[in-house]
Amino acid sequence: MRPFLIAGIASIVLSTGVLAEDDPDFALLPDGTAQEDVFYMCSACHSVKLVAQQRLSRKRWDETLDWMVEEGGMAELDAEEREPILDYLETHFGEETPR
Amino acid sequence: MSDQTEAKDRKPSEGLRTLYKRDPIAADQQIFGRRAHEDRRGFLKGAGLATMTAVLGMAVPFHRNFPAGLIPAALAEETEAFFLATKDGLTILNDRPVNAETPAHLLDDDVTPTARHFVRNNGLLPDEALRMSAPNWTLTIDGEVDTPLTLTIAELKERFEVVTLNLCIECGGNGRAAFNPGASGNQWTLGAVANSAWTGVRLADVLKAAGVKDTAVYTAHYSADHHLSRNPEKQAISRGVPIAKAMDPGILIAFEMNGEPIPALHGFPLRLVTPGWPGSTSQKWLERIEIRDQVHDGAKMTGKSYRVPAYPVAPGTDVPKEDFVIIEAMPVKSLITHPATGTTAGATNQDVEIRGHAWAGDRTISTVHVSIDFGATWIETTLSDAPNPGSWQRWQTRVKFPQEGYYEVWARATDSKGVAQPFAIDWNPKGYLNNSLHRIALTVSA
Repeated sequence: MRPFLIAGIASIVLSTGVLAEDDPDFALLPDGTAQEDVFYMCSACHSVKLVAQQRLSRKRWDETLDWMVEEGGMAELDAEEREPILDYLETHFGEETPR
Repeated sequence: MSDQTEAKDRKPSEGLRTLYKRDPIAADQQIFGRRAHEDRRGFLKGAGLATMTAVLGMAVPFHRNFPAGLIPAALAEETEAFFLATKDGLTILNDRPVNAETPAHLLDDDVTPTARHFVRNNGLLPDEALRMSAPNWTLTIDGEVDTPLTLTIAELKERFEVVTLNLCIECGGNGRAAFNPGASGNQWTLGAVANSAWTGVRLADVLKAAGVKDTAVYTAHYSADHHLSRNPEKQAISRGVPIAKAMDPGILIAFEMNGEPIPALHGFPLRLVTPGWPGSTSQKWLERIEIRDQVHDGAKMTGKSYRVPAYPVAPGTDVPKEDFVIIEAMPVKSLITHPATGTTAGATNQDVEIRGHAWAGDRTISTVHVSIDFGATWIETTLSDAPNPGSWQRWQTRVKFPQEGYYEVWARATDSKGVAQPFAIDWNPKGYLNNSLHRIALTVSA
């Protein structure tokens, strides 16, 4: 398992004691590759309700991830980790996604 | 006279009990997302049990016997999200951190009740707020001042004039949800605005007592809330205002909201209230104001936070970071608070009362007009004066609808410099300052 994912799961489990499949907010994330990665990375600090509200272009998501690292204290993602996450966010919470 | 700011009579469990009393099944669902089994006994299916387990920090061995609608006694005091139970009818955008807005028709009161005031948190509540107990709280004023001060709340009350003002607070991102293409952040619709009665001392009086030096440029506000990551070296938010604005007598260092100690979600025990500027300048859980010799660069003060492009841009434009300017006064805006959108109103040719509020940053409102024909013609409303600078203003009128059918009522406020609300959104990348018209749907029956 990738290191960032282990760190992500550890922090979410330590802070809330819940695994993805037991958290009602997990249902806000549509099924897809990187669904769990997105859940663990994002919900370490804030509810994924915030993620599910967004309708952003890939570029804006990319900038948002940078902001999360710089200001939010999120672990850095290398390209191999970042691309599937960006694919997921662009697909399910992109500009054209209906509200 | 005790300087303790305990609020034993206003614990969140009271609001929680009221919520449960009204409809325990709905309360369970709202707070835990849990649904009872059909027999109303063993109740915690899957996700609900996991949530309760997580919040309690331990297993619930007899969960199958735990009746639906019973508040876990251990939780009533401790969990931030429980404070949301004291709110009346708000739409919860987020529970971690807490962000909740008010539907327009629930903002009809001239003075917004506490239960209807929106909540915008950037971080996690400090312990004092969770416990609603802060007997040793102090406020420090330092930096470019002749005499740094550290004062308890009792000392603030003794040394400075205490005033009560109705003050309008609006989130800079109110209206963000309407942006197309979408802007990042909490997707407020129109309910991140409120106008409660705040009691406190004037920031200007306290700054004068400290003696502001000529080198002063900006204030820097610091609070006790926790960054979402719980990293103690990071601030959840730390903004400020230019020193000239800080000397405005309309800004309060407040310790009461609607006559009670400020509730946990709203900044217990002490906060700034800076009416007419983005809500992020109204620092909650306030501990320190530093006077700086430069523009403050704290958390959410830099980059694109609470900044808009220095020039108009087409929707979706990528604007270079250096071309953003800090938002100062909020623009003119209004809400229709009666009737509620979607209402079916009286008969044709009978008067229907239309009313609401209007506000305008550092200015006052000059007129508010309504239209029932999609902006073709406008009816001037009766406008009340603000009870004090910084309060929103009531407007109202009675309108006759000529025949049955579907109508929209639009409201448009004009401020004291003749600037009116626009008909469309002035797009900016972060979704701030949407002051376009509020429109409600109204059906008129025969």
